[in-house]
Amino acid sequence: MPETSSVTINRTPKIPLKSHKLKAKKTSDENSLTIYKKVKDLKTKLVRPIIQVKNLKKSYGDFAAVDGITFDVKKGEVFGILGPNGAGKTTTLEIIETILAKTSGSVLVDGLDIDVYPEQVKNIIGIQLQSSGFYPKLTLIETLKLFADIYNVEIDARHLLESVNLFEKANSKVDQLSGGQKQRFSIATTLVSDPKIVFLDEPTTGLDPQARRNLWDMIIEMKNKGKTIVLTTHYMDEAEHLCDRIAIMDSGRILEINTAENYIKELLSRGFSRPQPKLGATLEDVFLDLTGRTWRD
Amino acid sequence: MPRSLRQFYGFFISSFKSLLRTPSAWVFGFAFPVIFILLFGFISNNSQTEIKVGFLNDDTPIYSTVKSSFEKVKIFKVTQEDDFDGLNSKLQNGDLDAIIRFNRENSIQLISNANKPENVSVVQQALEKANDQITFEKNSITAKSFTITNSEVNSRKSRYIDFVLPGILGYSVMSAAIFGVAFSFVSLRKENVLKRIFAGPTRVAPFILGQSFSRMIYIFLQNIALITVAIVAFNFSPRNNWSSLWQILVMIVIGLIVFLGFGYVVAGTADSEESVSPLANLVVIPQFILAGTFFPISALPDWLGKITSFLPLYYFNEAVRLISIDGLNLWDLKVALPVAGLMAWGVVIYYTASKVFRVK
Repeated sequence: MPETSSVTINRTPKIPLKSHKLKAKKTSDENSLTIYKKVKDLKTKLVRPIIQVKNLKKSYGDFAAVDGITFDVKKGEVFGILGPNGAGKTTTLEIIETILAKTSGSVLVDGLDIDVYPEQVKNIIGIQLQSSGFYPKLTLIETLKLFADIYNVEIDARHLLESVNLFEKANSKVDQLSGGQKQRFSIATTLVSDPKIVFLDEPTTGLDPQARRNLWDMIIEMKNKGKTIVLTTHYMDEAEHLCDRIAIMDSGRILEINTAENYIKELLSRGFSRPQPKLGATLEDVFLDLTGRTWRD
Repeated sequence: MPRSLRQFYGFFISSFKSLLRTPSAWVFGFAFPVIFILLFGFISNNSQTEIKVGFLNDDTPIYSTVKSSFEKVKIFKVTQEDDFDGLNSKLQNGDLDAIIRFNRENSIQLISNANKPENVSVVQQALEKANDQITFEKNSITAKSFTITNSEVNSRKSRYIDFVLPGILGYSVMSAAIFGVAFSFVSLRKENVLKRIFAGPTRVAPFILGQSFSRMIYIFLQNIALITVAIVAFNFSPRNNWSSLWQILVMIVIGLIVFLGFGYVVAGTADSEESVSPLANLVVIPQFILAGTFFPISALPDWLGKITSFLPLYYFNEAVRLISIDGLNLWDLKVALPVAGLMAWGVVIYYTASKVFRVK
């Protein structure tokens, strides 16, 4: 496809495409036909959410783990699902990831229906499970190679390990890593296929403050590369720091979807005020300052 | 490379490396069986310190001379019987190494066990010596006192090591396949490794095949090592040497495929690593004891023998013994029947595995 990246479109979405179509028919100029196609493509991309969940339900007998939720995720945003344990966050994520069957509802990932195209969906997403093991007795590099075989891609294993700062451990076995290192390696395996969408299930649970911050940096880096990120968490500060929009979930239902700022504004406007005076910093900041924000394991 | 092929290769290599780095995989497939081989090999050797010779009773004076000359030598265990058929059946069963029969005037017939050439040559030498002795005493140096004709007989189950090695191979293949697959898969499932792998676009067939293949090759190599130990240390010699040997190897491959299927059934049925043990043992131990590993099933009571003769391990042992001891081929009907029985088990077990196997 010819590069037309320098084209600036001055049209607003309000102008119907029909008139545009007429113009294309009139002229036989190939250039404007390409432009027309580009505009349509862009418009679709800007408008269509990359994930669409409609009335999703998952029941185990009488128990409704997910009780009819609807939400969209926009391309390129970091979307958080925040809620206590048992809210149904992991269940929701695993259904969208096509590793758990839903009871009812519809889920579209990048336009693909997960019931019809599960393998294609698996191809374009990266997954980090809440707890997962890796093939026993293999080194980090061998494990990455295995994932490359699964996704049928070519990878630069060294580069990938460098990006998560695990290059020195390239020939260590996965079993020998610490908690923080395992999480970082997990991210590396998620990125093997260079996916459009990355799903992270409680990525920093169980990590110390430094490891948490480092992982946050990696997530922001992924976002800057244009990836869409959906994460679940029960850490409020994590949701606030990372997410563009947050869905608050409890008992299988989504209570509200909003940006962190709006949530707080709305809460304050309802008359809420914090009981304690807020200091300018917390103990966590003290710890990080004393020990230094490095890649300490 | 097509995706399925690449996934197959990836799983094959990963699984094989993992096996090589797992010490316990050596225990079932090699260490235990080697201990059995050494044990029974030494027992086998011990019982060969005597050469069993049977004499058919005769009233000629030469008879008693020859017989007493044998009795003087410690290595011979001499028995005498009046009935030739009795002696013959003992020879067939391997309870005798040779029969000495006096025919007509001055003709001695030596009927020997073809599987024990070393023993028989000793008997022959002793006979020649006895002959020389008699000639000397008679002072006739021109003609031998009697002529010796030698005829060979094939007897079954001549040495215990030859009988027991197929049983040990069967045990090694079965236990390595079943325990190996069951423990490995249940552990992969419990550690959420399978979950992570199948979260990606992993296809089931390349995964199962890659795993199975790597395990097959690994166990196959172990069994070649076992056979080598038996040959080198205890002179295990299959009937038709190389021809028998490659057929035994084919049997090992067939046995492996079938027993891997059993492993998958156990893996699908067991909930956790603790329940793998009792389930796997349930499959392995009865066969190990009853299907003719250490003793022929004719030693069992009739009703029990009838039941155990349908077990897959019995079919394996039978086929390998027919090839190794009796020198039959895979395509001979006597061998093809147990092989078909084994394969039938394979079909049934893989069908069951497909219904029972799960990834979560």
